[in-house]
Amino acid sequence: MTLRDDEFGELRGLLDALAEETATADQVRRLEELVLAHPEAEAFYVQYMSLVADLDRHFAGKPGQVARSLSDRLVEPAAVAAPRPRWRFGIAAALVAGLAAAVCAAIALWPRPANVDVGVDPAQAQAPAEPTDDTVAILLQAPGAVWNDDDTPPRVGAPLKPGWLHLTSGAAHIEFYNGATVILQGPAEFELISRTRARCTWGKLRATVPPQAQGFAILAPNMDLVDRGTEFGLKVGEGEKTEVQVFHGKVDLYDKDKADSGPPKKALRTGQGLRVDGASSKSVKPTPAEFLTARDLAEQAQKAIDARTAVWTAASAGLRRDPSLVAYYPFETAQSWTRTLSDEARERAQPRDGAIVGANWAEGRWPGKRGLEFKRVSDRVRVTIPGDYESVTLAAWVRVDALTNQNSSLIMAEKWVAGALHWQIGREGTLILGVRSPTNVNNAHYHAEEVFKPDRLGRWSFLSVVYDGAAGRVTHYIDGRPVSHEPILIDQKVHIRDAELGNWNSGASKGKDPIRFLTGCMDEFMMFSRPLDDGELERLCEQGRPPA
Amino acid sequence: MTTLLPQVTVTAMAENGLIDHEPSADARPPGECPGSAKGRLFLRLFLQNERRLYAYVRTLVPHRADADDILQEASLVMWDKFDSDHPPDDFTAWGCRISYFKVLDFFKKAQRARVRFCQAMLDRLAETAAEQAGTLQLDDRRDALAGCLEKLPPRDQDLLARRFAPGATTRSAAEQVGRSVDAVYKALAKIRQALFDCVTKSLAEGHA
Repeated sequence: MTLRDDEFGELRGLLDALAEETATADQVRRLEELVLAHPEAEAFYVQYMSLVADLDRHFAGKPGQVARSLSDRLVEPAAVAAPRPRWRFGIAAALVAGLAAAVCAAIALWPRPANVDVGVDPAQAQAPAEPTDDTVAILLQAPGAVWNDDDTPPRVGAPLKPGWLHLTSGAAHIEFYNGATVILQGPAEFELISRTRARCTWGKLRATVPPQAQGFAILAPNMDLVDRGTEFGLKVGEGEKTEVQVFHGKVDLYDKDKADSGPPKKALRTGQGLRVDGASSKSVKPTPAEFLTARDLAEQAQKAIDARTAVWTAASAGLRRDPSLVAYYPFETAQSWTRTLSDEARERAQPRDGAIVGANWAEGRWPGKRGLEFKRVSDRVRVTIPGDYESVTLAAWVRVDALTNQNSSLIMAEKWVAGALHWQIGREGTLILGVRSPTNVNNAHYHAEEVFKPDRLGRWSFLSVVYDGAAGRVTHYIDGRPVSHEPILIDQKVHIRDAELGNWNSGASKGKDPIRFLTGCMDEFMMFSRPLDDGELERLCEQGRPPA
Repeated sequence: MTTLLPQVTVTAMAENGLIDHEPSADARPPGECPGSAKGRLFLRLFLQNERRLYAYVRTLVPHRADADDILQEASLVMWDKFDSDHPPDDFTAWGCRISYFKVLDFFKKAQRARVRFCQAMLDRLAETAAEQAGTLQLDDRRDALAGCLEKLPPRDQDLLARRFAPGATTRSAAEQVGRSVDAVYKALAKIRQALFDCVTKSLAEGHA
């Protein structure tokens, strides 16, 4: 017997009541009648209820994820103890957690024959030995240096381990731990051997060796040089042509690999030089001007800084005229005692100045650029940026020195109400834009997982996030390059209102806030009321990047 | 309920002679699972089938909270009976059978009659629902649903999210969106209808 149209309509109505849990006893009876009489009705009922079941499961705690991650986690010992906060919600989650607890309890108390694998205890932790370090020198500065390494290029200010440096062009100022310094000019191939020894197979360098570092040796292709104080130059070129020039003091020359074993083959003193080309060697006059000094480097570095400052200042002036710029903090100040962070957006048409609390003025991206340093729980800048926005772009230049806290705030709205924004970096280096949803709906969190890698710590980065309400997408950027895209989960406007840079004040009356202060320095912050595109952000990054 | 379960299980096992000595001094407290092979296998199979089993129980017991309770009880029995050396060939069918008995148990014990089908209805549904659960149909429907949800207008998605949030009711959802309870009932009915049609269409077109 097929179902009539009106019966079908009736069936739908009954199923709705059932789904809403408002069905009366009469309605249930009628449903039974229809289902038992018509196979079509039965099929419809079963399919409909499976939809209802799936809808439930879909919204209540996302058990698909729970199921997958739980099955991964439950094979690990001690992973069951506390379900992750996401699993608080959802019957499925409670079910699985309860079951898991039961399973584990049962396993725990099961009699254990000797050959049953009851899981591995983590190996007893060794008593931690005192940490050791095998670095031998520090890269003090490298103005305009272009490196040709397969691995990541050395960072200025980074301690260096023994190994090769391949400098394609530019200069590098290296300080060895024994006190000797080497200013290397590219193109050059230079090997750090130990705190007192190095090798150069190509390039030009000036070595300065104070008394404490006497005995510092540099191995050239066909000779070993041992400095007895204080300054010399070395050139290694085509066909292993090697030239040594002593500007001050004394340098002992040895045959290759014979340094310090017996008397030197030759000693050179102030004003003496030697060029060795294959078997022949001849005296040369030193030409110190050819070899860069620390002062030359400092001047080069200053030129680079001046160039960058000019570019940035021009760009910053242009930026101030953008009508979509809601707030712009260039972190400029004439006086070090000022506790106001000035907003320069739209030529101060409606300035939203920030109040600095705790944080101190420090050097920003380059000498002469100011920034604010955040390092204590007190440190923050209080801002008020009114308005509700369909789209926003947030961008900042920051130097994160450590990811000390679970979350490090970039900017966080004080009151966690619908539409409030939190922009922060998670401890694992995940960039997070949190948007508070209306009540009883899961909050929207947009992540770029672990993109802020440990090698970024201590370095300046340009971070930005675009919340594009029209296109329905959130994109995180590092240094002007997009690193994640996610669709917007909830259609709503967003806001900042009362907020903190570098920290979070939840405004909770109880007064205990999770600790979210930034550990590092911020020296520029901007907020636009429109989504910037990839090209614009890349340009902003290029205009603001610190000198190499 | 979560904290009571381990004790219940332990007692049950002791009573059934499944544990033949007192908990030893080196027994781990609940929550530190040594991760035995049996536990891992069971949990993997259970979790793979959880949604199918839930859909099955919900078909027989339309009331959400009741269905949840029943599935939880059933899962303990499944664990109890699970033999990792001879796992069931068809975990879904096996799980459905166990769930069915728990449904009957539940109706015997339940004091208040919420939605309670007559025996004839239960028998009929049990068969069809088990068949559905076992086939790929159920998985396909679930996948299609995800796609269909995305096609809903944001306003409807928002309403669904509010209605199905933990602890929410139609009344609470109605309050949040500022509409009458009646209006929300009607809206939800329309949304369910739209989803149902969309899912059916997706399956017909062969899209998962």
